[in-house]
Amino acid sequence: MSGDGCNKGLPPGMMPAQESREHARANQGRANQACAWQVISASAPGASHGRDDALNQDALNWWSSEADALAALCVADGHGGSEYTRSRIGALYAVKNMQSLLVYEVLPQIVDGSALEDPLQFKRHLDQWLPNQLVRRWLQSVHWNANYYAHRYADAEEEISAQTDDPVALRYGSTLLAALLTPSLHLYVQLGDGDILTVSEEGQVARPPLPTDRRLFANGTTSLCSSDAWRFVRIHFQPIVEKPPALVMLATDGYANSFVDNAAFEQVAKDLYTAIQQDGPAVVADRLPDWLRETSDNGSGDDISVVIAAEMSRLSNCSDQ
Amino acid sequence: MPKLPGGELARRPLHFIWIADCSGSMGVSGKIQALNNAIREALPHMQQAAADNPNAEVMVRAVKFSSGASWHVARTVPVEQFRWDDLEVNGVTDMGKALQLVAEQLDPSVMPERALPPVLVLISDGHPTDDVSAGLQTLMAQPWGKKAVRIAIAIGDDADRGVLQRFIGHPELEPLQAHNAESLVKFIKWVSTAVLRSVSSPASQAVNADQRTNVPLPPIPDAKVEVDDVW
Repeated sequence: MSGDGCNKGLPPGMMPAQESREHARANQGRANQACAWQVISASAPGASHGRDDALNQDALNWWSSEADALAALCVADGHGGSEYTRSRIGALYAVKNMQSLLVYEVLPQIVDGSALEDPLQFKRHLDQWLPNQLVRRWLQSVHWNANYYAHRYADAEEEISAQTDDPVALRYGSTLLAALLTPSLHLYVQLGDGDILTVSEEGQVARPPLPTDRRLFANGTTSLCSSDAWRFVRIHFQPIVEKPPALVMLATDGYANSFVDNAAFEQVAKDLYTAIQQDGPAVVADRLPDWLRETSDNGSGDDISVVIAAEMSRLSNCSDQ
Repeated sequence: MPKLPGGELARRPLHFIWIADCSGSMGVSGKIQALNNAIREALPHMQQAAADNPNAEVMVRAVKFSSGASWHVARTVPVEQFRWDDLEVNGVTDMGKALQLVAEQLDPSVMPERALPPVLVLISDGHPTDDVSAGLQTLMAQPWGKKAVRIAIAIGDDADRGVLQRFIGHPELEPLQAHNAESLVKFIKWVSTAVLRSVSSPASQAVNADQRTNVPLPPIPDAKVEVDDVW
């Protein structure tokens, strides 16, 4: 997403401050500056992909507002298997479409207050509308890509052996994690594997109570390329009654799979929160790519991508950054 | 260097289980010796394949079945420490009981959630003599049983290919037919190297797309009968 036209669809007076690049660039951590949400992101290619000369199949994207405590975070994990030959592009379209939906279509309804006039009705509407729009737009994007580059793909790829309703979409298979953070509510969205963790000001790690998806098992995942993928989109709508989380972290499954158990993985969010408090977001952003690479090397061997939003007002060192 | 965020790191476990027929008929024409030799010969290649992917921790076990079934190697052994003791033959072909033994070890309470899909290799030369349907049902009732990469090797023409096909569970992937010691070596080497490599790579698979197998498998080696000693 470029800076052009960023104000389109936003309420008057709201200015986008920082946006990530569309695709996660390996070895490069980024942190925005002077925002209510301090956003840090990085992506490291998997150790096993390095051995196979495969590209990083993850993508990430984020946006945050200068003036308000607003942020949209998106991470996607292209499947990368032998039949998902364009999953890197599929992941890119996943974060791009999701961010566009969250920032330009969902956020204005929250900021102008209309969503909160009847929160239950808004939630019901979102539960249906968002999965449908996401999958529809992603499919449009990948089919456009397939047609536009048909000449390039024709000779370079083998036939797909899987039986599927949409063999074109299968090539681009990807998961998606997203969060929309506003002062009045947080919206968490998940399709497929990966992890969303939150850390309270007191350092308690939690997960948004998204519905369990029992299909996420043994490398199997629901995906944007699954038939009727909208059915697998899980949404949690979290009105902020008291204090919001101090840190929100989205990570592709290569991160959790690198640890001996869930508790060891959840410690990541706590440690990152402590590191941001102690050393500041810019320092953590610098170190994050090396941390991810080392974790992948000694753990799952998979690509790892992370987007973290830390709330500025509760970071003691933020004024120094 | 600041502390790496998070707790203890770990490679993803990959359980590889041989399920071997030791019925009396395996003693005919040197079949059991050919199987013992093939697994022993493939072992260094298997260890090398596992070493090539340091992000998977390959653990090997073996079940044998004849009149009843039992663990030939009961404890999960890291592949680099795995040694093969010769199987001996006697009795009938209680394949169903062997599958039940395997199913017990695939229970989610035993298998870690973050494991890679297990590899189950069933090798047989005959027709099951017990309730193999019950064994298959128990195996496939386990989520890890369903997600396992299931390969079957038929030794000789008397093997029950129908049962082996049901074990595989994918109509397009057929049992591998070993007609002699040479082809058996080829297939054993293939499952313990090429298949192992595929399973240990962490690529995801979209559910709902009807793949042939839970993990894309490498091309199956050609094993045309070229020598005279045919089983």
